[in-house]
Amino acid sequence: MLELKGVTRHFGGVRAVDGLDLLVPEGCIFGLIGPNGSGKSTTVNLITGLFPLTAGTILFRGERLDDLPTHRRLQKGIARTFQNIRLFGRLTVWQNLWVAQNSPEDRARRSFFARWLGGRRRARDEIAHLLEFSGLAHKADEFAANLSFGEQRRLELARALAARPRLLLLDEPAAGMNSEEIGQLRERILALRARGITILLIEHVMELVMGVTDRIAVLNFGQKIAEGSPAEIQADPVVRKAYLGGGAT
Amino acid sequence: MDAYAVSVLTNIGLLGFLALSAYLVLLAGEMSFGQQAFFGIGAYCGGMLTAMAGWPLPLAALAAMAAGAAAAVAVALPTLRLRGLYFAMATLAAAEMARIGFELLHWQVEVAGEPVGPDGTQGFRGIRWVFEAGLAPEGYAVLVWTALAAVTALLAVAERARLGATLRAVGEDPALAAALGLDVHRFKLGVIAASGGLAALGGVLFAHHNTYIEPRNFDVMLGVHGLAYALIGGLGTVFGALVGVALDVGLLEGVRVFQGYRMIVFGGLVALLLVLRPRGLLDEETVRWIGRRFS
Amino acid sequence: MDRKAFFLIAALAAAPAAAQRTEAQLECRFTGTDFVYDCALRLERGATPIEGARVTVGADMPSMPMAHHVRPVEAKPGAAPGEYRFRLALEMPGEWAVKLRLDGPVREQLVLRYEFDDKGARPAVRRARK
Repeated sequence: MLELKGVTRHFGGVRAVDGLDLLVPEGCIFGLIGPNGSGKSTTVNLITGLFPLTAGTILFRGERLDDLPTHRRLQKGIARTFQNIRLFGRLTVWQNLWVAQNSPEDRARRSFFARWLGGRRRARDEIAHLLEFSGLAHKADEFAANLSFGEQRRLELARALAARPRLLLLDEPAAGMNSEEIGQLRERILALRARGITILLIEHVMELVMGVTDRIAVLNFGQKIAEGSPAEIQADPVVRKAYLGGGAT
Repeated sequence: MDAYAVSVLTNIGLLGFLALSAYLVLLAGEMSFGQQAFFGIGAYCGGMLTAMAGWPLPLAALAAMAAGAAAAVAVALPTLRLRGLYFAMATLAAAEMARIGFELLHWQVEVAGEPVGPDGTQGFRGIRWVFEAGLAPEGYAVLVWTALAAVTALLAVAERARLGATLRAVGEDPALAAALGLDVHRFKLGVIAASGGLAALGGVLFAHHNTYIEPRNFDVMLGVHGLAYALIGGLGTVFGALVGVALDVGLLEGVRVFQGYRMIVFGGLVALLLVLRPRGLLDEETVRWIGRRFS
Repeated sequence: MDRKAFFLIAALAAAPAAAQRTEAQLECRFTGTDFVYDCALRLERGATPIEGARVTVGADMPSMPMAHHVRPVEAKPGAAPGEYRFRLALEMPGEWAVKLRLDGPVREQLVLRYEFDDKGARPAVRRARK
């Protein structure tokens, strides 16, 4: 589904990501872990095109991705959430989901005028479904800026789903959540996989990563130091040294 | 109706177009100090087409709008990659260049034995289409307000549609909008083209109201006012921009005690509002509150 | 045939004199009260004074003409033929575009650019940009 070959990004002299090879198979929940500053978020930003590659290639469903501008990559079916929550604070919850409906399916299904000038009616059912899924139905008309932290996280996930992604990049979705919320998040992630969405999960919280992923890659100083099943990773001495020795949970 | 009231109403309508054009650019998350240039381009194009080429006003207005939109795109294409303050400065510079262009424009033709056309700093007089069509000032005020109402209604519909929500999204966080699959650059260009066309429509109507235009009509003061109207009125709804104009021209014009100190009062009002209500009187919160009351 | 041409031809056919240019001369005296001027206007067309016209006088500033806009006044016939008198209250000294609208025997509109100060008013002279 997603393939990174020798992906490299330097910031000045810093090698944030250094020759990373990654293969995320279709329908899998793939974990990307590593200590702070190991290049996890940079990898997500490189996949979505927030900044260009220094070297390497990125393939999505066999197509070159790295020479496309950000919005074209997303139109190919890649959606993401952000490590620091990013929502349109001056739009309502409902509108945040509305503007995210830019999938190829939405484009094909509705004419140009219906998509841009049509009223709310056409989108109502789908958005109601998304609100239901993320438990935000009662907040539909609230400004996104006025939501609580947990609600904002849920809205971000719902917004990513509004784009009908084939591949979903989750950048530390559990940051700041308590263990009850993490449990709900885990259910949601599993439900998404059941719908056929491939997920790349970047996470610090081991409780979540070890519980949902099929496969994990570990980054340290921009390089991949290990890859395997959750059990293999937990047993790997190199990982234990680099990661758990790094002070994170 | 009092002739003076009619002319004040017409002026509010004319400035309304300018304020709406500034509002559109603000919604897209940019600030333009150059909308006066497109207003001026509309005024000159429209005036030349009716007075020199003998076109009827509606046709001339359409052509002038196209010219205004094209000019706006021409300015935005190289400058839109600049963000924030740099874009604002670039629009200001472009608008000053346009004004100097008007000062250098000397092109007169003989109409009924008299030279008609722009004569540099001496201005462009004899834009007489309205006068010769026998349209009274009241009739012209109705024409201006009909056009403004039509434009406002169109914008209000677009604003409530997904287009409006998307535009606000692009304006609030362009990088996020791109991450949602929106072509931010194209959106902004489209909005800027529309704003140029809108300002130009105001310019055509202004030229035919005033019958006389000169380069100084289109200096930076005009653009700053347009921008201030949009900011005062509020960015929550398209009607905010019109409220801004009505407040300045209507209220301050009505209360003549401010006479002569008008600019100081106006400047103070803008400064105060930007501190107290950074997104204007009718900001998004207020608009939603009003919407709930009436739904 | 477009409308403008129609009106031009109609005007020409109705009154050949209409093709002649309307000339206006303005003289203003400062009253001593801030920015109020007493003005005399002389109107003629082809060396013939224009009499009995209804003259409305307004004024705009060239910068922001839509906001700096003075309440129009109606001029009264003066002593001499073709002379009209009115009092103009401006917002501030400086250059103003004085707008005349004539109704009655002659229908016309004119814009005069004058510089107003504490001595009175004179035609605004502006250097052309070359």
